[in-house]
Amino acid sequence: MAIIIELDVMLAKRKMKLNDLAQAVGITAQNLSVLKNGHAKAIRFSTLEAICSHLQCTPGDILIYQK
Amino acid sequence: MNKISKISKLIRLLIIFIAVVHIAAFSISLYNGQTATNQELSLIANEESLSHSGNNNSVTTYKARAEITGSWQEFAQALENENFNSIAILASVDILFYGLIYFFVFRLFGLFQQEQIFTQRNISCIKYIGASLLVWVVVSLIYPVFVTMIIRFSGASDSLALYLSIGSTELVHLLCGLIIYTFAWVMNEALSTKQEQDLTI
Repeated sequence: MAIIIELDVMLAKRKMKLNDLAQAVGITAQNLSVLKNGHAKAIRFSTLEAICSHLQCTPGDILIYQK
Repeated sequence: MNKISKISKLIRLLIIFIAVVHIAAFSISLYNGQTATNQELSLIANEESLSHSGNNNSVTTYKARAEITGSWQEFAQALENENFNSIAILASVDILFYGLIYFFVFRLFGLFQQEQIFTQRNISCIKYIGASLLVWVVVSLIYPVFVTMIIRFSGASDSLALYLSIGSTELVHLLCGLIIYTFAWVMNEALSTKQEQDLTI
């Protein structure tokens, strides 16, 4: 897929664990793992907003378009 | 979801009951060898109901009666006229078809009972039910011809005519088969939507 998920990079930058982010966002760690590994088909705006809010970043930092 | 589970359990019990009555009726009629070509392969369940009336204690016995329906009705009559057991020849195929339908419907509602609504196994079950009905339409057209050919070539009868007819029963089966098959495709679409929904974070 042309959209790359760089959630693991942002988590590393913020020195945050996946489980902590999942808890903060209010979704399961399994679902966040699906998103992190690029298996997700779609992401809700509310989820994206919560992730960006907790990681203090923009959607462009997490979702990158690559040809 | 709980409602579906409860109703499915009830439907499964009903299917068991209908299947048992169907098989019992077929077995009894096969054993007794009594046929009457009229409507459906329906058997009078109380084969040996005893009625004791007042003082004379008279006993009335009703024997099992199988009736062959639809486009096979005339063929069954023709077989009977030629002294063939139409129940053994025609109803055995009929019961095989119904057995298949009962089995797949039973399995489908078993999955519904386990609260598996949109799964690949469900879709397969629905597809098999639809396919069984469609196959049955073809069989009901071909089978009388096939039986006549065998009887003629074996030399058991020369006067048995070739029967190739399509009745309202076959048309209803064809329509139901197509509807059920289409429903399976709709369920397939629902399954892919569900999978997509599951992967929406």
